[in-house]
Amino acid sequence: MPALFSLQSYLLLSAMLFVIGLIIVLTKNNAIQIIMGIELIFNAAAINFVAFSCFRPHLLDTLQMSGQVIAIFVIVVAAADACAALAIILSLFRVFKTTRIQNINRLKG
Amino acid sequence: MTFLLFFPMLVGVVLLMVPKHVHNTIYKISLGATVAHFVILCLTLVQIDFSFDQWHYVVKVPWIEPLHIYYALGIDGLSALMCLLTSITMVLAIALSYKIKKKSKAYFILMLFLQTGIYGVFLSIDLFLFYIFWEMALIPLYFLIGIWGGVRREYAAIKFFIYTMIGSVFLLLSLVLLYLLNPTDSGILLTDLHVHQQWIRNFSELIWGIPVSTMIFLGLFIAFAIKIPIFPFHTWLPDAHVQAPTPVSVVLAGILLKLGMYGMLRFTLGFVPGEVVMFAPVIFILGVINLIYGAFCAMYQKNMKKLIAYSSISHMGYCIIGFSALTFLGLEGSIMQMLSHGLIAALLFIIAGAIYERTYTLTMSDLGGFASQLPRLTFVAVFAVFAAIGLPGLFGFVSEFMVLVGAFMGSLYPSSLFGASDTFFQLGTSVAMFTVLITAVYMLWMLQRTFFGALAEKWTSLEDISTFDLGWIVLLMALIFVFGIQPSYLLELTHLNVTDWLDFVGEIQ
Amino acid sequence: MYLFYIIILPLITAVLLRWHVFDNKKSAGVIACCSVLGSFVVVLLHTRYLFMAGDSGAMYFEKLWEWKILPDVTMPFGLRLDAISYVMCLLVTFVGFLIHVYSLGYMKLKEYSRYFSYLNLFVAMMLLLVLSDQLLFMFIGWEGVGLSSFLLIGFYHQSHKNMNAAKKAFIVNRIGDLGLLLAMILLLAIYFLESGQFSLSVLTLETKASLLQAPGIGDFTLIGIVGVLLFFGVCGKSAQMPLYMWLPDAMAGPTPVSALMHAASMVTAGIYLMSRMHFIFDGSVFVSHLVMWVGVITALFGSTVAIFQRDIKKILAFSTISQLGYMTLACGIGAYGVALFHVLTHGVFKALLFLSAGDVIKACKGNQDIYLMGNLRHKLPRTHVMFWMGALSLVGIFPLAGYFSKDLILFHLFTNHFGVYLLALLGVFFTSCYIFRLLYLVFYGNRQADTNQEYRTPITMLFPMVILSILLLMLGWLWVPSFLHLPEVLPEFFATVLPVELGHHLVFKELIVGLISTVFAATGFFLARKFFLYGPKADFWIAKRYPRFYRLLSHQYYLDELYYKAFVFENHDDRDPNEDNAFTNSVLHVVAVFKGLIDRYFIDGLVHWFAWIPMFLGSVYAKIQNGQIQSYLRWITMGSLISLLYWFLWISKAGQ
Repeated sequence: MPALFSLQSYLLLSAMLFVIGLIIVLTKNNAIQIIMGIELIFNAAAINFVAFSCFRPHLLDTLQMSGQVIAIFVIVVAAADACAALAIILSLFRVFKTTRIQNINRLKG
Repeated sequence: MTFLLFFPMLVGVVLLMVPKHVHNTIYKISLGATVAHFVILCLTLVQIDFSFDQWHYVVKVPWIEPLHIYYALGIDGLSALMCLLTSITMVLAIALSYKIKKKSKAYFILMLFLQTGIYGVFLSIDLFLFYIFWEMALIPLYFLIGIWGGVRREYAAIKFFIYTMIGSVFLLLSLVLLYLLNPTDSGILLTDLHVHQQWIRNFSELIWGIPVSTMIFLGLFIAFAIKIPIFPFHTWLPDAHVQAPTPVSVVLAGILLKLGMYGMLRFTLGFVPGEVVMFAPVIFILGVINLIYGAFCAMYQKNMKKLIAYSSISHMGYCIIGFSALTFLGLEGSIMQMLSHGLIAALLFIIAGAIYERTYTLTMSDLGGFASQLPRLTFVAVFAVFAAIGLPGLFGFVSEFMVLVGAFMGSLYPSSLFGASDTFFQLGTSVAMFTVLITAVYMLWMLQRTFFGALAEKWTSLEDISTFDLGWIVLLMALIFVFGIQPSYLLELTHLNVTDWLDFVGEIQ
Repeated sequence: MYLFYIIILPLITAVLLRWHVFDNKKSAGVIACCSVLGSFVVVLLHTRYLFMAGDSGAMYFEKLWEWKILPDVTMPFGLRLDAISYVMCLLVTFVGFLIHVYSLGYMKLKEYSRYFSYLNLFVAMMLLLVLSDQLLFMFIGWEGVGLSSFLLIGFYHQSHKNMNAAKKAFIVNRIGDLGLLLAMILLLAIYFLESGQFSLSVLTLETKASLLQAPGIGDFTLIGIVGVLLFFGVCGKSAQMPLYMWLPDAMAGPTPVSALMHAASMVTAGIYLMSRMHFIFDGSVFVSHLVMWVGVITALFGSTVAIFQRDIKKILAFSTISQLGYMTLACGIGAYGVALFHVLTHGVFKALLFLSAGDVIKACKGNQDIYLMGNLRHKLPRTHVMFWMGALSLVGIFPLAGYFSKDLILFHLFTNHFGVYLLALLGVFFTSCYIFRLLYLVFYGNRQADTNQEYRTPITMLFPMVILSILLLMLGWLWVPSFLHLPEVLPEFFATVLPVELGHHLVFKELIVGLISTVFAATGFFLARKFFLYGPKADFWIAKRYPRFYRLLSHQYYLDELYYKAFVFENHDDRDPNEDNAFTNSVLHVVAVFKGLIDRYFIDGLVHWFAWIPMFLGSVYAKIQNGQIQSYLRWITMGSLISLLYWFLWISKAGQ
């Protein structure tokens, strides 16, 4: 593409962010860090939506800015999700006295 | 007929409401119900003339329309005999269950449900209904063995349940095959056997290269073979019988094994007689192995109940060889052996149970010399042992003799796996006869070891069997004796069935 | 009149007694005696029927019931009174009655009902055996006497030795019964398939015997096969050569039991069967010869082994085996009537010998070892006389009963099978040896036996013995050698049913035979007298001079030990004080252990292996469930990536 920042680069950015976020979720041992990873994934998805809304307006019939609206939804949902996740981690911490995910394996078997 | 079938279950449901602590009332209610059921059964049977039509009191109600499944019940000679055996054995089992004290309510309810299940198996004419009741009979047994049993009861219960379940899976396969391929509009009913034989035989498609009839036969055969039990599939029996409490052992040995044989006779001969003829020599050889192998294994046992369990395996071998010979005496003898073994094995297990209650051990080297301490029990034991050996004049001999003569007179048809042969059965029967001798050896050995010889110190305070127990046992002994002298009434009930089966076999040739 | 009552009377008494309805000694015994006497009377009352039966031979038939095998096939069960069964009935009931009376005096028990109940059961079963019309019905009696034998030999059940003997008796009988059972099956099958009749009644079998002329296996005709099988059954019951070993051990039972069963009645059932089925044995030369040779070998075996035994009852047991051999021999040469006559006389004199032996045993306080006895003729004079009579009858001295029956056998042999005759004669010599050895060692000599000083033979024991001795004097005249021109009662009677030769009128031959046998008997007598008059020293002398010979004979040619090693099944009997070897490597034992182990480890092992599979698979799959969220997520990611990949490929393929 001749333009400097085309759709593909945004998609690439969002994909990279997604993958980074996934790797964080899959490999980090600290619960808080996993939540950060989840946030990254959310935000990657948001970037994706905005990029599409920006570069392919004809894809969206009704509203020109659907992608951006969805991005706001994503931010809200991410916030709610972060609250819930943090609440769970707080309770886990109270029981297990640790945030290391590896040690929380009571559901084994 | 429906009432007859569900009456025990209804009583069981009623018992659910009764509070748990009144053991005696529960016991009396169940016993009363079972005896009443027996009486009603006798009254019903007496009114039937079995030489006239084959099926009586038929109930046929459409149930699941798309698959042509009916709720169909009916009684004919063979079913009547088996129901009679069931009710007699059940009466005995429940009568002698007064010693079960823990969770007695659950116990009796389970026994009553079991009763319904078994009756259902014998009374149902529709194949699907048969399968339902077949499974229904298993579940109470699992609990009965698993909760009130001996030391290794959980192992025995699980083994029994799953092993028989595997057999049922094969039965289900055959059943599904039959129902799906059924070109007619009527259900798969025992009253329409000719129709079914026709279309099964004429079904031309092969499944994986094997004709449909053979698949059906294999499924049915494996299912019933596990139940009877036939040689390689018999190992659930020693564990189940040994670990079960006495009344449950009585029911197991008396009736459950016969479920398998009943199914074998009815369904394999009814649906796929051609395959039966084809596989007859194999079945015969397996039966002979049952006889001799079972007898030798019994000789090896140190535990009394295990010995009796192996002797059950051995005696069912007679049923199998009678069945495979496909002669009238063989088939009749097979049915008679079902009945006689039911009664005699019940008696043997009652004796074993009586000893276990007093001594809490069944290892024969610990026992000995009870004849001086427990004379009445010894008398019963001597009677039972000689009945099991096949003393002429008692029921066991009648059936064994009929089976042996029938097996001897058999001949292989050309379509069998080994080709036509006249000497196969004769040689086989001569070999099978050695069982008579070996049975005498191990039975007498058991008798001597347990009841004769010097009485050990620790057993000098045992009590003899009570008159109440003795009363029931004497009834059983009287039956064994009377039918040994004059089995005609029982034989008459089987005439129509046997002639039908022989006709089926004849039609194929 | 009903034949049925003959059997049912002792049977019902047996049942009542077993339920201890009468427990007082006197009542139990008296009731039992009366019932047997009642049977005897009923038999006598049927006598007139025998002579008015007409053409079918002296016969009276009574049908009891029938089995309905198929709507048109029935099997009748009935009783039949003819010459043979009549004579046997008389023997069984009369001798049975005498022995019941004897038991009243002999047995000292805590309770008598059980004993008399079993004795009555035995009589009932034996009568059933003898009176029944068809083989299957007879088989009930056949095994029934086996059952009573088991119960009575094992009467003193506290001792494993007795129980082992009882078990042995029943099992050896069973081995013979296998042959009999197979013969019955074969007969039923053949008769049914050929003629449509489902019956084993003697009449049917006899009239259609020609069916059996067909060839069976190889060169043997069917009749031959059936004959061999039947004879095998006879060997088991009548203690012939391969299956004799239960009889000496059966002496563990009370003496009256030995007298009744193992001398007079049960063991003669085999001879009875052979006479009944004579048409089968006549039909095949091979079988007849087999029977004859087995008979003669048994006769010699029994008599030689008896010479060096120490136990009174064992000597008499081997004597029974030997005499049964003679009876079998007679059947083998076709002289069935003679065999039955010998059954009759043997029943009487052997019972007498046993009863006298019982008296001796009681006098010696339960001791049965003849080495410890002696000089009893002063203590038991009457028994002494009766023992003499029994002994003389056994060896066959005129005019006692044994002479006539044995002489007839020898005569038939002399005329037809001379070689066997010589062997039989040798048997007479040995018989004489052992019985007079017994007589002299027990009643003579100058050693003093350890006796019960106040012992007097009770009248209940004396009475039967006296009656039997009187019978001995009278019985012989029922079948006299024809040169005496006296009425031949018995042979004419038997001729109605059996092929009996009447009236030889060969004076010279008969006299010679009689003389020769007497000479042989006398030789034995004098030999025994010479050696044993003063005690058993001769035994020890022979043992020292010819040790192997002595040991061979006294250990019954080691046959019993052979059987024990080969077939006896011992299983964990390590607590039994009478059995020293807790583990016997016999054939049966090995097979049983092998099979038991196969079952437990191999077949059950297969089942366990089969059950192990799901458990194993389950445990493998369970490892995925390790409680680690991240590993779950990793699996999820992997899975979704793969499916996405697959979907893309599929889409791309579909696009092309």
